[in-house]
Amino acid sequence: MRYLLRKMSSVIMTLFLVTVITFIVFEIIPGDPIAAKLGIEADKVQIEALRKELQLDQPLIVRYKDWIGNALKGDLGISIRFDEPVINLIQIRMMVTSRLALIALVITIIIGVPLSIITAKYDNKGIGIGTSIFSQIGMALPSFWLGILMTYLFGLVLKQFIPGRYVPMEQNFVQGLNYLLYPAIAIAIPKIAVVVRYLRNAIMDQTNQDYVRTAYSKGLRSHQVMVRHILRNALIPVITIMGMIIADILGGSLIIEQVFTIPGIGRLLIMGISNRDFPLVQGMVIYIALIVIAINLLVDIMYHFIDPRIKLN
Amino acid sequence: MKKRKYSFNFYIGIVIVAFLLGIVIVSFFYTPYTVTQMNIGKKFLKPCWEHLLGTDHFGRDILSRIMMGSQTAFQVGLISIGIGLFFGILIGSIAGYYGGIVDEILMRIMDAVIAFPGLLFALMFVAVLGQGIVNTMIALGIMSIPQFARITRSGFLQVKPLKYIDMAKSIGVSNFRIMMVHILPNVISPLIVACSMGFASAVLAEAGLSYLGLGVQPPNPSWGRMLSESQMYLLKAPTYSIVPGIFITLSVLGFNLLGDGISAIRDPRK
Repeated sequence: MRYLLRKMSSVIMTLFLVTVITFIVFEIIPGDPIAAKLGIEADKVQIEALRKELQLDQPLIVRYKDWIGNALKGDLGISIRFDEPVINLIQIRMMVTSRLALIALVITIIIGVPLSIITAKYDNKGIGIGTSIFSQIGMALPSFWLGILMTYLFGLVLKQFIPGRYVPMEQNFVQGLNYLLYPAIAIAIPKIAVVVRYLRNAIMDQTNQDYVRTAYSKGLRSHQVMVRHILRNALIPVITIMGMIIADILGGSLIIEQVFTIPGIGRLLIMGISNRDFPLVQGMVIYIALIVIAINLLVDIMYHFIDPRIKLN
Repeated sequence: MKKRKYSFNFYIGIVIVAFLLGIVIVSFFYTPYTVTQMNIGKKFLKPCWEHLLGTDHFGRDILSRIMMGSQTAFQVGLISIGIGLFFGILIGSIAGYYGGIVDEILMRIMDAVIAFPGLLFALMFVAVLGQGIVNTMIALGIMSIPQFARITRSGFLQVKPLKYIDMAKSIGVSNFRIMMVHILPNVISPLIVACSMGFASAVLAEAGLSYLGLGVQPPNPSWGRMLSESQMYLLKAPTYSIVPGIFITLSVLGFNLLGDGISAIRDPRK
């Protein structure tokens, strides 16, 4: 309980600072937002009116308080380009991105974990070096490049999907899944390499422990030892990197969506940046950052419950 | 046995980095063609003797552009790591040396910067300040500060309680001198490892930003930008998409292996 309290207080501190950073960064926008909106021919009265409306006559702290107060109520401002509440724009796209991230995560786990077990089982020099080389290369691969290569191979050559098109899952489930599958694989491949690198070492460390010998000596079969004993312990250090991986998958989907023209938050964000739609970009940055902090908190708490030996720090 | 495996990483890393560095150096004096030299009659050539890696949609030599792109990648890597290292050491050593509330505040701010996932922080920065190579370097530099600050701080926390620091204080050595001359050298080797790894992620991040059209702008050549241009001509010239990706991967791989290798040499038990 004390752990949870301390953890929560540090998370709230981080949350607060993240919002402050996001707020301040958008205060240093070069140029006058009023002039940008009204053009250079605006008269004084108009300028004053808009200044009041946008509350630019208020001090920084007051504006931060208003901004964060509204954000807590779910009001992230109005997009300039779309003339729609930012939160609505995000929520529609988030459906797509969260699906993409989820599929990528599932692929990472269902390929990464068995692969680690297999490579850890054959503990010899060749496999060791081979795994090390492949995981290093895998981690170095830019997912957006993989995406382009996959567009070529599966889209243009094998014609599994049409590049530049996107079918939502609501419209056609199988097709929709297909359109998310390839980008998810592109995101997952470097992450699989990360999982294998960590999990293989963790499994091999556990295999030499006394309790494993005991488990064998009481007559368990090797897969029973692996699943019930080794994997349970080996997964503990891996959970710490899980938060990082989930954050990376979400961050990675920002670029991948551009490669596969998927209408998720990544494309919305890039569109916002290219159009200098600051309320949209600011709202999205804060939204994405908060999600990632929340996920990390969940992972931390999970970690704590799985292994009660772990105390803060 | 384990030791050999890791020095193996180190040597491969050194070879790759040396190869890339060689390309950067050569590109200052010589490229097979001028980077901007267009030749519409020769567009989308496959790799041949005249154009070793083929040509792009304007008939420009891809090898020459890759070579010039290596300059951009290294420049962004070096300068952003420089920014990260400078402010990281500054913040980390102040936090570690003075401790208490200063430490708490500084490290919480670092946590907050790390909390932005992936490219999000850089994207926010570029959105506000505008695109281009300078802003890319600043954004990636700021993004890498927490890494260096954390390493410096933890080193300071380890060394600070040692006797020789007290002695230095007792003979009146200034705080600044103790921090920089007596403590900092102990942190150098983990910082070198972090530099190598950080360089790798900076190259990757620059490529990503430039791919999105938000990083390095033309006429500065960039591998990421080449990838985004090539994507439009994927069917006609697949090699155009393959080559820049190989170079990005190679750079990231080389610097990661190098960092791994250095940390293994420093601590063979790991």
